[in-house]
Amino acid sequence: MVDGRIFAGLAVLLCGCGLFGSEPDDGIDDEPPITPPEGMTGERAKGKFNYFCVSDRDPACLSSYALPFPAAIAVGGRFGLMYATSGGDTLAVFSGSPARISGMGASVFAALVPGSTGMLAYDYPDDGSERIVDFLSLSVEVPETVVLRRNDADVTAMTLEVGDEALVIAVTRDFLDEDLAGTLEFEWTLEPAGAAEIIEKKAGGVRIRANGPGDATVTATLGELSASASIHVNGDVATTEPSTSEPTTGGTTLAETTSETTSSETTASTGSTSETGTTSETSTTSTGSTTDMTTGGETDTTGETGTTGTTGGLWEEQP
Amino acid sequence: MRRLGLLVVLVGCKPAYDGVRLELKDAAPDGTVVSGEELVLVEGVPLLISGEVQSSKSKAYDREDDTFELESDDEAIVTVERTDRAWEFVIVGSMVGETCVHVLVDGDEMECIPATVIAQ
Repeated sequence: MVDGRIFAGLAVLLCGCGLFGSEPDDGIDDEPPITPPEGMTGERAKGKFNYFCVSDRDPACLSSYALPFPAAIAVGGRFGLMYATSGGDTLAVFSGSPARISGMGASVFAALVPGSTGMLAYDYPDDGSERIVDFLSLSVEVPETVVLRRNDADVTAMTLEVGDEALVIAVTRDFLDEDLAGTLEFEWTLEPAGAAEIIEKKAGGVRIRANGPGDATVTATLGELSASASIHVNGDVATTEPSTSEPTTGGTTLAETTSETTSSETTASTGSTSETGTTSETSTTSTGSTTDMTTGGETDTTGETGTTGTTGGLWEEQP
Repeated sequence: MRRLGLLVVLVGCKPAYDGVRLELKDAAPDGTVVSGEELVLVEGVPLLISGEVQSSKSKAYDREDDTFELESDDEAIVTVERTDRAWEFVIVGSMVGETCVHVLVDGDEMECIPATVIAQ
């Protein structure tokens, strides 16, 4: 009888763990939760300006709950802004100074110049006139530092098991160490190839897969700023075979992975297709990086695999 | 003689333009000047302003009956647009430079206020 109670108690505990505990750690980082930040009431208090992220790597949206309206946007950052009146109407927003914050269409903007810039919500009544219903000043700041982040925590080193996938995001900060909003296009490198590789690249972050035992360093560069994190992949180096396995996440993946290390050159080339059908390609060599992060057409990859992009762009979302 | 008197009375009932008074509704950055004679705006900073049309006669301009509009001579330098309230405007210096802002009262252009946009 006593044994039966113990068994029943154990069963309840196990069920409880299964129902309410966290998912088992499969070593593959989940995609981050995306939630638009809180709206900001306009200066005339006629409604709210609503910020939205144009990629899934904008720090303003990387949360399971609505963060406060961004205090500042990074120079070079892209973002969306719309206006909702108290009555529920949605109005178009225009920059008060296109030289400072440029409109890119579809309520998407690019922050170009540091400082304060007015954003204007326009209404077009039936009489053919136009009116500014409300306005808001956005603060744009020059990034002072870049940090890498994984699973909501800043990271400078990580240890992975073979087969693990780490989602690493680059975030810029201002002089007060506050995160800056906006989607920025970082240049990513992972060197040397072999132990790990970048299998998916988006505007602000990368997914890294551990292929075999060894060490590597991932670096995100934005202009003159950069941040790195060391990667250690556990295992016995002597027994390691070159990895040719296919990635297990990130949608359909055209895995063509070649890892080759010599004294003078290290090349890793990956062509992967994410859920939206874009293709990301990276070529990293020890003597120089050739990474095409901005064009939507062909990407020449130097090295043995010599792949060429055929889809409309590297990033998942373009304005 | 009676007709002439009536005409004089009717003309006397119309206000006569005697400039505008522009007033800031909120705090503005240093260097900002908003008046009927001059506008100095800091690039990129939107300002909410209200206006009054001055009359040199005893008959004053009225928000209900008289229209008062501001129009930028060069929208690349200054953007000015009315709000949903009569005689209230949002003005922004879009780009460093000089232009003027037209004052239109009851559809007639009265003057163009010099406007300078300075850098932040």
